[in-house]
Amino acid sequence: MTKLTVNGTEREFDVEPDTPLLWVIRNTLNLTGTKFGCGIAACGACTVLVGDEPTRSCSVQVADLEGKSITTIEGLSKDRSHPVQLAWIAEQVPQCGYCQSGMILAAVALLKAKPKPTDADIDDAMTNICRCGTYGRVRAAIHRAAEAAR
Amino acid sequence: MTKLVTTRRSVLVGAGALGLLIGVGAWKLTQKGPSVAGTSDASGAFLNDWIHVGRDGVVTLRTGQSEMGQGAFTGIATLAAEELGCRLDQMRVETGPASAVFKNIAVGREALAPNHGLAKGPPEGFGGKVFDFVVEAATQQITGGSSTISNGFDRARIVGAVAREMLVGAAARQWGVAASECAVKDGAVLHAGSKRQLGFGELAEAAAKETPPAKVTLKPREQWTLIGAPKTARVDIPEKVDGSARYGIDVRRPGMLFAAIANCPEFGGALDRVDEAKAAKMPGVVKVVSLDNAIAVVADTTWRAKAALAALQI
Repeated sequence: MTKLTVNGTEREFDVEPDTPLLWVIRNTLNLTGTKFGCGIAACGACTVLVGDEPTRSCSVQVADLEGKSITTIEGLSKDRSHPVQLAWIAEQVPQCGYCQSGMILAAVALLKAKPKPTDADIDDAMTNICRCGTYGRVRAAIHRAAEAAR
Repeated sequence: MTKLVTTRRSVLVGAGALGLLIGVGAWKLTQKGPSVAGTSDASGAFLNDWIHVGRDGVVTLRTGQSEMGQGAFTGIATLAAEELGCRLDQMRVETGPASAVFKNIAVGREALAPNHGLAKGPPEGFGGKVFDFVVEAATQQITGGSSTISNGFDRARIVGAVAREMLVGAAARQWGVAASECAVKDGAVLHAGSKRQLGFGELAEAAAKETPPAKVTLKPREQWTLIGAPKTARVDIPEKVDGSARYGIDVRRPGMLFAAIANCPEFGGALDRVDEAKAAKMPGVVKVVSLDNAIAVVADTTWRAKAALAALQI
């Protein structure tokens, strides 16, 4: 049995200890906002927060997360009211949207660590891949969210 | 030497059209889904196959197009909302079920007569009618070739106008006034003379029982407020920032299982032999399926399927 706090609720799972966090989220908890992309921690579509750390959930085993607190896209707000979600809508960031759950959580983590990031900070921190090429709007939305939080 | 000129559109549909033309009769029968027009459900009522009006006032537009980030839903919703008389933020869009009513006519016209500008409309007269009959029989429910707007430009507006007339008709009947005295705005029918108004949601079920008009008048270009408006917010974006947008990988059915597949690493190769003893005993594994050129493991979760696939000795 593994115990985790997911989006504020304590959960217990009976899964193989080597199960990646991603599949516990998607299959066991049925929270499908977190996406499977590459499966090798390269693309970032599966990014969730472990504590405040952006983490590629496809490549971390649940056994190593015992007792940790996880935030998925579903846990960010109840009504799309998180400043990063609002900025994402205002800047019309997503196109197909498949990578955006991970992209948004990576941005949330960046803003927590650096409330007023520079373009260079954003480029360093945002390693998620978007095939639609929304990077310019991602950057604008992060600046907007930083501005709104001031 | 023959020179072949094809457009992307004709390539997309050409292959299908050739196959489909042969069995037109059977194909039309099997593809024509039952109509939901005029029926009510738990949340509201369908005014026609495209438009559902919820009791909460939310208009759901069903379209044959898929939204892939290109803005198709927003474009089609804008066209329908313009005639319907509601705001874009009062509309939801979803991909309709497989049905002849959602066939892409523009892509069919372009495929059958490429490079003649026919995507915009058929030729005049009887020839045009025959042409479109063939197009309709041959085309498919498809999104591609930049055809969403050319296919929907008239149809989505007509669909919206028909629904509007039914909503207005229901309101006028309730008030005992002439429909011509009523107007629509922001998802409500208004009667200026008596300063009364009814939201689309309140009218949904009565409107669904109205007889659809045989003819509708579309707004002239000068009266458009939504079509061509700058900075139109995309209708598909809100659900893409909270994880609720549903992709193929997110579909869940009762009792659904998950598979992991190993394909033959070479073209034309075939499965030689596999030792599945270890994989078959792993937790959650339901079945190992051998195919000619691939092998799959079916399990109760994706990870268990993947783990068992890795344990196969192929």
